[in-house]
Amino acid sequence: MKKTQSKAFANLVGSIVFGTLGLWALIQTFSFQEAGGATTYVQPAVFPQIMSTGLIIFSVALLIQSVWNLLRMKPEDDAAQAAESINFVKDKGVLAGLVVIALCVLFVVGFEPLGYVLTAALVSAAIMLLIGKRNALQIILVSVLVPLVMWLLFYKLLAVNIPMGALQFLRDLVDKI
Amino acid sequence: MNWQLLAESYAAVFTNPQVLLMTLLGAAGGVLLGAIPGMTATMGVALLIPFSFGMDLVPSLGLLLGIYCGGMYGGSISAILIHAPGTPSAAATLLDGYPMCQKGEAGRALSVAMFSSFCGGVIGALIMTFLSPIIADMAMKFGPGEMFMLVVFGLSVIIAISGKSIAKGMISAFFGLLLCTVGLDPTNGIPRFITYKQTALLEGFEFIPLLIGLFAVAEIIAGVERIINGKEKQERSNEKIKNVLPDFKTIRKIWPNILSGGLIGTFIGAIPGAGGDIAVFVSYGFSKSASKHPEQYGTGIPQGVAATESANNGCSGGAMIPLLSLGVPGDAVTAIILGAFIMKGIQPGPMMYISELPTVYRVFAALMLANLAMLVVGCLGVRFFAKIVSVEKKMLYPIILVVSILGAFSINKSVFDVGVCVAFGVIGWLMNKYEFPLSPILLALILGPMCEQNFVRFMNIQHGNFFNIVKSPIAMVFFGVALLVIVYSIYNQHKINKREAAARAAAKNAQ
Amino acid sequence: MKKFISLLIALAMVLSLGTVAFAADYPTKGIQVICPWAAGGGTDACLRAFADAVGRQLGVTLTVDNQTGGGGILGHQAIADADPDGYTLGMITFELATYNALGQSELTDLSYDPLCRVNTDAAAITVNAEWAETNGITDLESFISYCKDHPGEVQMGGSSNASVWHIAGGYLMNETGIEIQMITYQEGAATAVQNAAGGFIQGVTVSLAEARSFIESGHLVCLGVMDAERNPSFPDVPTCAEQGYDIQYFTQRGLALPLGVDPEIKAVLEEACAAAAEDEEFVEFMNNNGQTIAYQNSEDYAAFLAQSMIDVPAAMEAVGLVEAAAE
Repeated sequence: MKKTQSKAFANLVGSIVFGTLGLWALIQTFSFQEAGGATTYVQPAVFPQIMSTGLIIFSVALLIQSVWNLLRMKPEDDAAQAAESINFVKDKGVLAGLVVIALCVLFVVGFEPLGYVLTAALVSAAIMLLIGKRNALQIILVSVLVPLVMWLLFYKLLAVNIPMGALQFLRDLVDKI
Repeated sequence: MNWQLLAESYAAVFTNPQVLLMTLLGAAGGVLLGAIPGMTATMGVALLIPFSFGMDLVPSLGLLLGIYCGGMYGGSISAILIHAPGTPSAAATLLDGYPMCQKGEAGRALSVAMFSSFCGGVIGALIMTFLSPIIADMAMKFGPGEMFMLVVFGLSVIIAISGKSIAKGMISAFFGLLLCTVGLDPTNGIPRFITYKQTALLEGFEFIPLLIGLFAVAEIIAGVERIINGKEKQERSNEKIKNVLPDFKTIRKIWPNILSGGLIGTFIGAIPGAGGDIAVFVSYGFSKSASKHPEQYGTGIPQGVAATESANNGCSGGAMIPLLSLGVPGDAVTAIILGAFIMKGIQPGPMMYISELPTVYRVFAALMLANLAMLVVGCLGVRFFAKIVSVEKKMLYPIILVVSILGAFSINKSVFDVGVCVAFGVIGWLMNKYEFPLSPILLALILGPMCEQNFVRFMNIQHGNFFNIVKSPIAMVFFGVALLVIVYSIYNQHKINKREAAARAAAKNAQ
Repeated sequence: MKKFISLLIALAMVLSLGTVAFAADYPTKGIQVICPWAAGGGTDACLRAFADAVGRQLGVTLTVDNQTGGGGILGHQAIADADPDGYTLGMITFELATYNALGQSELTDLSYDPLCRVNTDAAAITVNAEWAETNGITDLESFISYCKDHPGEVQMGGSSNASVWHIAGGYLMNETGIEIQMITYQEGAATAVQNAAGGFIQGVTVSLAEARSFIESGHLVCLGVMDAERNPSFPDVPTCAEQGYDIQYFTQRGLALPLGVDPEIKAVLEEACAAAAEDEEFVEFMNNNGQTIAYQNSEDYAAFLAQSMIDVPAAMEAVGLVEAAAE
């Protein structure tokens, strides 16, 4: 196994990502507006500064630890075990995960214009097809009934108004009953 | 303590058919509301207030308390079965509940959760009945400095829930604390990481969409990945549920956790502003530290579930103490219950114990009844809930997604929140892959705002002199305990890692 | 499938045609009322009770829709942006007057067609009883003279930043020339009251209803309520005006329509609101809840809102809120 597939390497990547985030946040805090007034003893920037500094410190600690592990680890060490893959070219599962994420983004984009029930039906049907569900009747039943029932539950029971898009008439229908 | 009046009040409450019916309805509704992520007991209680206006005080209280107690338990159902805590108070239940479900012990996990919830609730109700005045006095002594140190104590649990690497747990925690600072600064209203024009983020990230994203959405993405790679096991409900209550052997194992959880929950719940979401983590951390086998926590053991579920239901009793004896609500639900009293022309507060003692005793009895009703509903439901895991995974995941997204939306009716939920689903998925623990983020999100607000408030009141905090004995006790917890958890984690390394080495030698 | 969808769309169009509003037979269906604050809060409780009463007048259901977030801005925005067909209205609150001054939103009183004012709750000056006793404070006058002798020393709590009770402190300073330190309580007035009762701060500038339990228990003493008349639930608490300080300051809640609603529809709603404000159940609810009904018709309410757009920013300046946002 290559060292780049080990947990130690994954930790290295993680520490760099979070460290960079902390650094970015810390830099941002210096451009925060200051609060005026004689009774302000803690500026708004102070708390985020402490938190981003903490994030940086522990990211550096993890960085050092993972570099040390990469250089010194023995095959039976925990750090030397294989980390989970995020390579979507080689790993079909990761690719499927990315497709689900794309579908979720579609969910967000379509929520307002198309309405909840329609988008939910499309997205859930697509996911079921993706993961190899082939029973057409079940797919249609689940993707149509579940969003409808959830909408009814939230709308009638909790009076939560949910965008319905093209299916607005359903709401009018339910209101009439 | 007026024993005769107490007995009369109990009798009056437990023999009133309207009260019994309302409490049972409330508990059933609460369990349902709690179990669906994004539907909260607060919503249910708020909507029922106008409806309960026509009722007498005790039946309407029965209804509200039923929802309150039922909701506390309901949250654990989805935490155990689908890795999505239905309420923030159930967030720590999934640490051991979900692994239990994956081991094919969903029914056992549910019954342990139910039994512990009931016992925790009873402990809370008993403490409330007998110690209210003393605890209310204590709650009055909590000012900004004491609250700040309580938060520090809460944060000290992070190491205990960090998993293998303390550095990674701390990174998660600071990431969560940093997330809390997005939005308007609470003291001066100055925008941080945003501009005034980003209206949706003025109050920062909404908690529940984030929670649903990090746990439910992330689990769906990971689940799809497992199915494609052929690694998903389908749990069949081959587990025979003979008794809906846990067996005697299990009870003997979990009773210390229930006892400590109930006490911790009641105590933390009694502090206005601190609630079940904090209590569950503190109780979990305590149980893990006190255990002889801390390494088993997080692998799916009933003790972990018992510790958290007894704590959040203990909280409901605790939260009623400042409500009744000070008129100060501890959380959103008790704030609404306070409204229910006021609407009936009764002002909870120190005077209530003098002028309205029979009412006070009836509330005690109603809370006990609400816990019983929750047990009844739970017992009837366990078999049914446990069936959820045997739904084919290929259908279950899309269903959870559809429900979760709607839950994220309904908190503020904001599509932006749905986007936040999905974004954190991706973050949670990636962090899981790289073994960064997610629970510290959650604890940080719960405690972060309290931490900052109370710190800044303390500094402003003390004119910038932080070391005045040594003048408060309560604050110092919390600080001391926090230090102890930190040192002990580091030692504990070191021990666990050594044991695991030894186990790995032994396994290798055996090959 | 295609056929099915086109059928659905056709059906939708037919149904939506059938629900176009004609003023003559308004209302024909349920009305939606937007609440910018969360379910279970004071605004929500007041609105739900009032919506029920208006619904009884109109013979249709008014559904309360909580559109929360952004410190109430999102809900206020949603009311202004709603379809002006008369089937969506909303409750606007005190905070509307602060948004523009804080630079958070373009919304002002002119973004709405005000329908009626429903409720006002006056701020009150309430202090810790023990502290008052040791410093010889018995009424508003002695409090003000103490504050003048100890400028900046008295610490008062007033709910969250830029909230109505926080600004009440600024108003008090403006009107009396004293200097006090306002401590913010993001968690809400209840925590501020509890801290005042515990002696961590000296007092609060919240409404009487919110400090009620501790006033009754003797932990807190109310020195004066900033209203024209005494509060019927607290007949013993004097007003500031009685003590020679003409200070009036309160939060307000009212119904508003988006701009551009047919005047005939508005007239129907106005009539229903006027009757609802005297509805027996609503009055009983508000009395029990400690909230004061302060009905104003559309015209008066519009004038009141316009005045508050001038007064509130002036008070915000005194607590240092406006300069902070100006940059």
